[in-house]
Amino acid sequence: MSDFEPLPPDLAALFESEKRAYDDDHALKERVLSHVEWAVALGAPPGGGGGDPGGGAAPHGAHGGMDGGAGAAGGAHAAGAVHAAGAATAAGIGMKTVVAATVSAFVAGGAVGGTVVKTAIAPPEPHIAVSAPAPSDFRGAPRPTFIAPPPIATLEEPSALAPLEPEPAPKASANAPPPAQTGDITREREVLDAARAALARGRPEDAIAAAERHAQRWPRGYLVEEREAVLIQALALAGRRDEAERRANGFRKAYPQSILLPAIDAALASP
Amino acid sequence: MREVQPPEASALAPSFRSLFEAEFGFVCRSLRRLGVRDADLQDVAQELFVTVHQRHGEYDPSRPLRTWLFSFSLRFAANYRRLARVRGHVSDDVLERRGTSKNPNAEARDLVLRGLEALDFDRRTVIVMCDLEGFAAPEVAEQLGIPVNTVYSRLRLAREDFRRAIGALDTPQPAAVAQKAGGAR
Repeated sequence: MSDFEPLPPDLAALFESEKRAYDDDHALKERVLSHVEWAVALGAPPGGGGGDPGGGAAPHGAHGGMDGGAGAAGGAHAAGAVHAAGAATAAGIGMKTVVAATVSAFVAGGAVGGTVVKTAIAPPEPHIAVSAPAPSDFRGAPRPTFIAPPPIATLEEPSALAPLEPEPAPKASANAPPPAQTGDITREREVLDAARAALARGRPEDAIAAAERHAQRWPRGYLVEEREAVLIQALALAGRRDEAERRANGFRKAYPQSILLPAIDAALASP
Repeated sequence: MREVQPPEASALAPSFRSLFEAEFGFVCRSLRRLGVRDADLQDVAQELFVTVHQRHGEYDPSRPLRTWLFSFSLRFAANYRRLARVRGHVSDDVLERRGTSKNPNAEARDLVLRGLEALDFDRRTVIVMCDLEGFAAPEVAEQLGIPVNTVYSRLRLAREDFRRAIGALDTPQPAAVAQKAGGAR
């Protein structure tokens, strides 16, 4: 209960209308949960954009963290290979890169050799990603979507895997809404969890097949970013490096700030 | 070749999932109220929760969970705002929607967010913590590292600034907007 001077009734009523915002946004909640799950599975490092939150024993003291940058140092100070630095600097990757500054690439390191690959990236700048809106659009750029990739006919036909390209910007008026994502996030997750598990067991063909099923069923699903990441990793693991590289280039264009990029780079970098 | 362990069915600990389920709305509200734009909310929220997941073991259950979570929101929002300034990013997306909403609840929310956007960050933080989230003055003082009396004075000034800001907007006044929103619930 608040111990302050009571709010004037009009402000109290106004604030009341805001108090439960986002409680019922189940779609956003599911999307965030899926991304968190994948990021955790890929071993995002401690630190992140939040810096030290104070924990429990130490005073919370958020004030001390407001000067920024501390979280980045926490995430990136574990030195190691820097082979993902190009991706980090290519598109002004902010917070996501820092959160992913040290990535345990369970696919590249785990599935191939059973070792965990640590990738450290010095963050190019403070670590919060801010969408860069066009001058006429302060709502910010819409989240990228992909053109649905063609079905992967058979694993014997690798050419069927066309590289991904970001969906072209709509030519209609600037006020036209971006193409909507459509999918079933719960079932999408089931399919992609199977892909992830196959990959971790060293069965890239099964992972590719699961990713294909996802692509066919949900070409514009909520988890396209995750699908493409696991597919690229599976292609690399299967030795189809040209396809993996081509697809990774499309991924970088469409998701320049993806937290999954270091894992992709690690998969491509592994022999 | 060493045996590779398959991943867990879920990479997330049950305790974290419970926290996420219960506090997702709170975290999103906090981020928005502290200035994270709607277009960036998903990205910032997911990075925040990844960090919370990593620090989850450090949480002291004898302390209020929301205070702990708010410290994450505060830092992510502060860093976000600093980077937005560095990039010359101006204003807030709520301004884009001025007068366009047909939903009374959305209209009320927009009015709140636009009023908050006019405040400096310190005052904004205090009014969000005190008036919107109901934190007690000592909690706010500890969180922000300021004396309790400063919390009171900052809140008084924040309320004045807020009322002045929404009064300057070309919108119905708060009582009318809140009444419409209340009728819609």
